[in-house]
Amino acid sequence: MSEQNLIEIRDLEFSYGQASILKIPEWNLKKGDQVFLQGASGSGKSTFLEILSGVLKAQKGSYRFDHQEVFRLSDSQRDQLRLNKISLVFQNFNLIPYLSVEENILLPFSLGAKHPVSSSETLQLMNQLLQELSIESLKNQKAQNISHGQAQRVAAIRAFIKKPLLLLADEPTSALDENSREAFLKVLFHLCEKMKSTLIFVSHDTTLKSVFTQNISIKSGQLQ
Amino acid sequence: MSLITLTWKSLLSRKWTVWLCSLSVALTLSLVLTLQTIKSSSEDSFTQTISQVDLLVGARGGQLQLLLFSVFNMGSATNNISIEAYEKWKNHKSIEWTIPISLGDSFKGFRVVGTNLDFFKHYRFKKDQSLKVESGRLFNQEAEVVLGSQVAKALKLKLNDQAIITHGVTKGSGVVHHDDEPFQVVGILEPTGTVLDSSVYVTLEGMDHLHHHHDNDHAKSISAFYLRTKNRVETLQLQREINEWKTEPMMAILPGYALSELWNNLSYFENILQLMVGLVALFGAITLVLLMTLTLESRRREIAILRSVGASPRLVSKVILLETLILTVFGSLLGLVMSKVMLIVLNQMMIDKIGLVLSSSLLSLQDLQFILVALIVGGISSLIPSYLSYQRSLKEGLIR
Repeated sequence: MSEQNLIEIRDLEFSYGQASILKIPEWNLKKGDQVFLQGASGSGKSTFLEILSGVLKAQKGSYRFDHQEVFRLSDSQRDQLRLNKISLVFQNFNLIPYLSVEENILLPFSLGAKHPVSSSETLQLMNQLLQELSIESLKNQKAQNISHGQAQRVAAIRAFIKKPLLLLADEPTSALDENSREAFLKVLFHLCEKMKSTLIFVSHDTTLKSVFTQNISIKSGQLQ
Repeated sequence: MSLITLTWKSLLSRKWTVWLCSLSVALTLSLVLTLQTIKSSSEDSFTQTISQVDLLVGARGGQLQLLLFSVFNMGSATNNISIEAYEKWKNHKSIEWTIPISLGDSFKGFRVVGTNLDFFKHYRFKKDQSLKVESGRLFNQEAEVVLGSQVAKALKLKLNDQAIITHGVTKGSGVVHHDDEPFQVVGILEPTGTVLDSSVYVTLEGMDHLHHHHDNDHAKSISAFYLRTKNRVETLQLQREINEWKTEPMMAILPGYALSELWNNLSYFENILQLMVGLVALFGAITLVLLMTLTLESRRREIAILRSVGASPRLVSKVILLETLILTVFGSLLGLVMSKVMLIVLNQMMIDKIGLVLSSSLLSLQDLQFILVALIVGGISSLIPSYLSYQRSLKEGLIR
């Protein structure tokens, strides 16, 4: 595996019974890349993300992530991989409503993620990010009491607090207006750079693709 | 934030579900504990009300009837035995001591027992426990009365209060009040947890005086007497002698034998209670599993969030397991309190209706055993929703 690559996929095939969902002969992703991925509903996009995040395992082929052969890992090892090295951000930001903003941000560590730095430094980093995104006053508020715009920033901080190698953002801007969308993208790029994370950004909105370093689309289970 | 804190906060966000599940556990456990207490109290009441008495002696009649009226204050004697007959047997060479019992009157629904000081000296219950006076002293005159603890408590009587005894053993109108013969409370006994607590004790002479023997200082007859032999080996010989005595038809029974025979006859009652305990526990466990499984549906999103952040299906199922266990612990404590309240309410009713004193300890070994069983059953029951959540997490992947 090349030192520069975070992901290397070879001859990957995923199917449900007889139906082939995904077929990727070869695909590499360099560390630090920011990829725009587009695809219609049913194109195999969700399956691709679930394979990349280690939730699903393809029946054929290989998927190397950070020098690890993911399909050879056990279920719990793949869960550990996701817990420590991969973050996900979704359209509805997936905050747990009864937890405070701080508890939501630190949730990965409550679930067993390793602190990339010491736990006190993690707290410092969280406070710093809260400040940078102007939501430090919300730290003790319950997630159910904050606005949509504030929730997206909290979700972004939670995704980056564990300094992930890969961030998978699945249509995180589709419910936002233009201003909010731009603001969120700005935050995402800023944090990716700061944490040296690689980004795969899924969206239907092709007007955004110009700001990414790589553009790919998925059609009938094939990357183009 | 630890996993327990996360689980706790999750539970707090679903108060209705928590209350419903806990209430289901609490109701089950409180019913189980109450039924079990009634069952064991019935058994204790039967087996421990009387100890160290070798023979119960009364006028010839039914064995069961003699046992019930002379030990459990239930029913009444159809015939009495004369005081002369009692005196004759009392001085028998094989007998160590006797306790005479005269029944037939009541005090505000509680049975009045006419006896003498030998009762307090020799009577034993719960193997080797003797009667103790909690306040005041024992009677030494006709117009004095000693109260069982439950009587004093229920009627709020204290020393030196007056007690007007009625003839017959029922409450209500139509009974004869001996208004002209008020008794004075001189002593209150310590609780025994047996039917003795709901009895009122007067002298034999006082009892006799109430009815028709104003001209005589001595009782004419008694209902029954208990006896202890000097040597246990002589018990059966003595029983035969009494039963075959020609002068006055009398009957002597072995209390231990009669008690176990009676308890065996009532075993269907015990079996029904046991069955009810089992069914209630089973329904409780099923309800808990159903409620927890149903809540999984409403928690789909929450579980998906945990999965997307990095929780493994194993961790998600651990959260569900922990939740069910917390609910079981909470429900068990609530159930314990509920059962104690239920027993307090039932206790007076049981004493009034069947003379049964329910165990009133705050936390018995039996309670702890049942709570432990509830926790184990709760733990086992929680494996089902926990397993379902594990399977669902594997199957559904990341819901967005």
